[in-house]
Amino acid sequence: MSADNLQGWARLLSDKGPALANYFLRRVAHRWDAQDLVQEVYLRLLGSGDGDVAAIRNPEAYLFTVAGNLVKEHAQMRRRAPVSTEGLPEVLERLATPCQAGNDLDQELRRQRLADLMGRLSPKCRAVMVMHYRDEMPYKDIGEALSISPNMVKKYIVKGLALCRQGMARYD
Amino acid sequence: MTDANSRASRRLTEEAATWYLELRGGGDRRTNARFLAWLQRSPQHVAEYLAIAGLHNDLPAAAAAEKAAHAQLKALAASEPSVVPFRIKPMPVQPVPSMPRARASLASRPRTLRWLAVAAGVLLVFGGGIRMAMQPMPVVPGLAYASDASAPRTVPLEDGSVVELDRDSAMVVRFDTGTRSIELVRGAALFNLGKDPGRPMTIHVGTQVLNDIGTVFTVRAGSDATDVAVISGRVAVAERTPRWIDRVAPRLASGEVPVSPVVELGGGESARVASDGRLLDHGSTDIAHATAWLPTEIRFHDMPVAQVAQRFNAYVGRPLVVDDKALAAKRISGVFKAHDADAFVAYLATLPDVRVERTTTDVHVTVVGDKRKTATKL
Repeated sequence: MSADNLQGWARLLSDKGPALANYFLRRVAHRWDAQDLVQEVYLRLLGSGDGDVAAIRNPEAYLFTVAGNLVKEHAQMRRRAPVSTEGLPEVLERLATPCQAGNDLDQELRRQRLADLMGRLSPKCRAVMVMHYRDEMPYKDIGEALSISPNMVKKYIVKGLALCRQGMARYD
Repeated sequence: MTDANSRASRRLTEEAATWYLELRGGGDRRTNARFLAWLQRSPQHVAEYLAIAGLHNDLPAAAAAEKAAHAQLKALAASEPSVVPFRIKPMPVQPVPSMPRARASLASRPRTLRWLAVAAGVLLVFGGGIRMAMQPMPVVPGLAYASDASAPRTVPLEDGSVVELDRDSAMVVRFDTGTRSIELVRGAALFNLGKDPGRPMTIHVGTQVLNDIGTVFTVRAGSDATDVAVISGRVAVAERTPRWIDRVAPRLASGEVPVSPVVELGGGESARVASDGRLLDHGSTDIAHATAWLPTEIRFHDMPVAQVAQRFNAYVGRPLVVDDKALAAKRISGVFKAHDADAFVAYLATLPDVRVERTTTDVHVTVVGDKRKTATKL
């Protein structure tokens, strides 16, 4: 992993807070360091059972905060490491990206792929996803537009999210 | 991944998504406690939850690209049957000697044929052991792809082929265990076909049938003629006769529609064929002109070298062949000018031990000192 990328992530994370989940989405499947971070987050969550008020009051916020801090720490640690630890695949990756800021390209491609995946959902599922994520309609209104219950709307979103997630996992 | 594994992973993803939606409304104490317990059950739960959160952040931007208006989405959704159709696994199909006769006698009654074929499909579900005279083509759903007027669209297919759809074009892809067929419904496309000897590829355009042989070519469907230009490889163009067979072809045995050959084209050749099968024009083609509508950039992220090379092969008469398996599988990211395949070759040549050899027909990329030379023809 190049130092540039790590700095990029560190900046991204400090700017965007919970959006750090993007980092995991991309890397959690294959890269050992992301797996490591997940393990670390998990261990803290396990420990939080012993009266950690923040974790019990809002586990989601706690999860994002712990993960964010760990990624930042990790990035700083790696930045101090000598350059020689950079593996061949990382060098290649940098060489092969001659004229683009990696993050922008990544983001744009991901969006295209996601849009592609959404286009392949079943018509109802796709309609629900687009009305929810593009048109920001509440479940109730989507349900009325498509003659289904708000509960079904939620089920379609779960289904859509799962299919997109599994579709994207192949690219990660 | 086994079926059981993929089912489990799908279930976990759905659980994470359900939790994520549940918590958007702000969880109460009990919900939070249950959520924490769910997270604590496994690191995989933590990973999947973070993944769903990331996806959720990306979705508004991705959904913004959806062009269909509210009313269109509604109409589309309404067209979806509320009964879930049977999902039928494609079966390896045995050739049945009596088939031509069966087809000939049914051919004059396409509607009957359709129902018989559907019945055959249904019978295959319930009586797996029965060998039917009809192949289960009707149950192979076609996947439709369309591009809008703003930009060409790259469509990677499951067999490794890549189709570039020109602006405002559409195609239907039907793959099963025995055949691959693509119908260009309108507009133009560049087909960059992967080889699969077990599953021949047939391209249908109006009344024409094109049989590929692992090759790159463009096709433009006009109202009264079809233009074909071959970038590399060979393509056989044939005429389907008579017309009504077109309509039942997808329901008939795979691709075995009567055809009469029109012309065979090699790399750098093009032809224009009228809808009645007459050859209107046949000559050499200017590759740059034939591919002028293609994207001017090739962008790739974390993609194997072999696939990137395949993308470039859409633009060059001498295809790139990566001879080394490990190099072919190496993942790279970047942006190149699409018409400058030389820049990509030059980049490959900077890698350790990589040698480039140009022959009259190909550009070979090899790794020096590699004994496991396994050509990956692209």
